[in-house]
Amino acid sequence: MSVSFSGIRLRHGVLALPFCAVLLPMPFLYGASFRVLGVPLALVWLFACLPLTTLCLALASYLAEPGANR
Amino acid sequence: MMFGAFLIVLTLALGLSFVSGRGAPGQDPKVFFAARGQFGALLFFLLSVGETYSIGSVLGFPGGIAASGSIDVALWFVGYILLAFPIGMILYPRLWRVGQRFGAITLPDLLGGYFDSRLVACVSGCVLVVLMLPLGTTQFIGLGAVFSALALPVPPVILSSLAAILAFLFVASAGLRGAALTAALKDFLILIAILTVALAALVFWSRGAPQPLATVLHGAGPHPVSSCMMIVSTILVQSLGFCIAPQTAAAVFSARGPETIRRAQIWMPLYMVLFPLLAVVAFYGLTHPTIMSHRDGIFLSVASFLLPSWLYGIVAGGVALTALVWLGVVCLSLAAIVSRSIVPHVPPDAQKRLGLLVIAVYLGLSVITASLQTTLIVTLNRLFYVGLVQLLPAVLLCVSERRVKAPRLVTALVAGLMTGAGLFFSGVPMGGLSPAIPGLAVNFLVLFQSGRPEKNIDPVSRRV
Repeated sequence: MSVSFSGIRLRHGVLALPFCAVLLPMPFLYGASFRVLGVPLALVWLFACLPLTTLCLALASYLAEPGANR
Repeated sequence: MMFGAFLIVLTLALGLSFVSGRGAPGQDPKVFFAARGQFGALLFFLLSVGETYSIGSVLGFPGGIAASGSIDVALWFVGYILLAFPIGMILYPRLWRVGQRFGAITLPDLLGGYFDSRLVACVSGCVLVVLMLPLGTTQFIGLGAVFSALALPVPPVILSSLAAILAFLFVASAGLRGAALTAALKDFLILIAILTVALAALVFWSRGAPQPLATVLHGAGPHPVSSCMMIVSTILVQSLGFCIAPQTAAAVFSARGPETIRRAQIWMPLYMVLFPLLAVVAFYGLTHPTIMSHRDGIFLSVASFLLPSWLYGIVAGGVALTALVWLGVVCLSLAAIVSRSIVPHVPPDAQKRLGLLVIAVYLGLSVITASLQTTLIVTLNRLFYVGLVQLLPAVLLCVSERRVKAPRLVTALVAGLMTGAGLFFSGVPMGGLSPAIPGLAVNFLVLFQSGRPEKNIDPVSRRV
């Protein structure tokens, strides 16, 4: 019971990662004047979060495997 | 040449839709409207990423960047779609299970079944119908941009009406199954279209004395705190709203099972890699201001400037198809909502006929409203979510197996809607906060007024 409970918590933690990656740095990145090839850093970072989110979803799905269809 | 390629694309799509409709005559309305429980991971994927690449994304996203010359639109637009996927990973399988228990094919179906109340089904159905009108308008504004880019010697209203008839034929021929198969063709075309236009923009970037990107694309504006608040709150609200949109709910209920949903969900953020390419197209338009004409049409302006006419015809066909497929899916959800939740006691064999009538009326109204107003696509998109997200508390109660009395639920929903819409239209300054958030706060306050909703201890399946 406790194992599956911690599994669920871990899975939710992994799914919360994209939120942290996108929203937490937003206030700092949005104001930053640094640019990559003329594109503001906030936008570059957001695009980098696309593959990161897929990775998190894959990991969460892997963690959900046992008894997923209950 | 250009118009020929455009026509070939649309004819091909219509043919595909008809072929998929053959061999399934006299379908059950549940199968026709929602293909309930039929789709494997691939079809579910194609159907549910449909909204990711609606005309709002293909035209509205680069159009929003080019019109404002700022990254704000790009940040909230990409942010909310991206973060909707992790939420969906948790929410969709639960939604599917509750939906299965009550035999639901739409959200009002589910809410009405769960709270055992026709009032809840009817009110939530009416809310969704009202909210979906701006969405139809959005698609026809986009279609208008495609038609004006084709420069045909026919009045735009007639072209839009023809498009509406075409959208009707799409759904009438094969229901949601046809829409999902046409979505495959549309996705293939849109993938090619965005890749080609972005690649051409990069290759020919230095042609025509471009302005430096850093001078035309602004980062933080004069009020960075309120802009940042707007972006973060819009992302939060719309990522939640995205997961309970009528067309998303239809896709969820069409899946074979939770595992199908989970498997498809993993790949959706990767499918968003086309957004950086759309941003490249917007940047090209910004740095080459001479080619900008219509604000929402920047993608098509760049395509017509850079591509040979036959290829441009295919691109325009792909964009038009995007709107038509999306309209098809939304129309089917709407028809199912009206014929099952709003109009009482419609026998199953009459539901399909009533549904098609509803679709025809909806398409007609959308053509009229699109010809009347000139709001930017992205503004209509925000208005839709401000209202839609007010259904979230009810959905959360469903998936967490908690219950309140139906009148309380309806009061909370109406109070939330009035607060959100009132703040949106009055334009009261809230430091950038999305008007949906105070609406949600009021909504939850009414729901929780007499303490935490009780756990549902007797989950009996009342309707299957």
